[in-house]
Amino acid sequence: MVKIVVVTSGKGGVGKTTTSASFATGLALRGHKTVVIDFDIGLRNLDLIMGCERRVVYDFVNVVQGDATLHQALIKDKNCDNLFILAASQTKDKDALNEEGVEKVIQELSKDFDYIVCDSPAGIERGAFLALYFADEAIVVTNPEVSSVRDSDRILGILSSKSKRALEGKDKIKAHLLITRYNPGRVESGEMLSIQDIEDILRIPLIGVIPESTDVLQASNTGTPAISLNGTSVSDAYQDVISRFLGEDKPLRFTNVEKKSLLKRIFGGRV
Amino acid sequence: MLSSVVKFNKAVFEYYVIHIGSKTKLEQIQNKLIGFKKLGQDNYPIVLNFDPDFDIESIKNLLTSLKEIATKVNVILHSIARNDNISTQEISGINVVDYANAIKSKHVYDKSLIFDEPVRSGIRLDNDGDIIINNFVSDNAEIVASGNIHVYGEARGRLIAGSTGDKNARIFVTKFNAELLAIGGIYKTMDKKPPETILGKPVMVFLDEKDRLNILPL
Repeated sequence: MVKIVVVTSGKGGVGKTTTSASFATGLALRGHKTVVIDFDIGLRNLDLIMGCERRVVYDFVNVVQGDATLHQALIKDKNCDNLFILAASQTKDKDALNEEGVEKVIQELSKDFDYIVCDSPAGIERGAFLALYFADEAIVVTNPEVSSVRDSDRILGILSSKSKRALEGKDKIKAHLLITRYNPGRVESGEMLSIQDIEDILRIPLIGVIPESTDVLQASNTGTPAISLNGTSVSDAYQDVISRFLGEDKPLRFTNVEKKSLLKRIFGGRV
Repeated sequence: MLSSVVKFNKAVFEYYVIHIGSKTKLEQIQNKLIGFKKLGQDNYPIVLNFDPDFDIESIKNLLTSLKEIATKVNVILHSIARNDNISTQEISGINVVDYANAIKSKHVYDKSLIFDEPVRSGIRLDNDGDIIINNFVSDNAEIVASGNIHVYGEARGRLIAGSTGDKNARIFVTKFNAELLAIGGIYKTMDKKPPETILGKPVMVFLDEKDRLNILPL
């Protein structure tokens, strides 16, 4: 049974695409056949982060409009046989997508894949709406600051009122809270909202906390999903998210301030 | 007070009832009918409800002028509600109908809206009547009720009770943190953080006799 998962947030720049790439890669590495679709038509980024930007021949819009077959447009990941990418178009805009076309693509993908990960654009317009419309589960990416939390709240309202599941009166979309760019030090000094504050406002189950890290930028620049940077806190945190998503029970990590060792204090933080 | 002499009741049926007492002036009725037109409610027929102290003759006299007004402002006088003094089937060509219990009813609100889901940011709930929310209300959500509002959970958004002017409407909240409160058009923004005595506590909001908005911890 296929599961359609939307990665969404409302606000831009919080880490939706980073999360989509890592989440899809994580699922694929554990043996699930996964496809990740970039819904951000006109501002395509996912292919960059997945490191396949030079292999895009046909994109999502070509398939929706019937100019190419799905088979032609799906790009196989270079490191993982179970992972496929459906890139967005950079030359069109979001109106190039329509409900019927997207539904057809998703139905066709449902035959072959275990998970369909939809990378939503920012905002609450057409692209974002279509990304969440067919979803079974949602990962709501939130930064520990008030505007991001409020936009996530808005998206949760849309998930529960305008999605296909809501309109057809089926079970509600299962929403998971993913807090990214979390910096325990800044939370402790009161500059950032704490996990508790965010949970109090959004009141959906927490699936993970990704620490703020310079490794994420490095990963994007080299076209590697952050989850593949073995040994980093970000990679470990994303692995935990996958485990929890697949039903395992994992304690939270990287949410407390690390005590700096004497050597680190003397020679600076970046060791 | 004017409203006690001439008033419209939207009863449970699709008519508007105009109550006419012995002290009612024609001018008042005309103003009411004009106001009624302005509300865009002119498709509804109007039922006349005379006080029992009117006798048939005075009703007949009044009806001649009422009919003139009705033609002038273009509303339909549908019928006259039967009372103990009226025994005929029609007066001056207007039917007398027995509305009995329906007429006695006070202003009838629509059914209360009961909402069990969270009211998220950007969602607006609107009801002609009470709204009861059995969950939390997020920042920037809007609850607009012509009656009372009850929130059994944390209330952060904008709570607007008595939206059609009912100053007796009240707001009840089990965990108070609203950003805006309004009753019958009197509003208060909670710009500053509310004091500890009410923040996150159960409260009742009501208008006092001087139209001041009161937040009372419960």
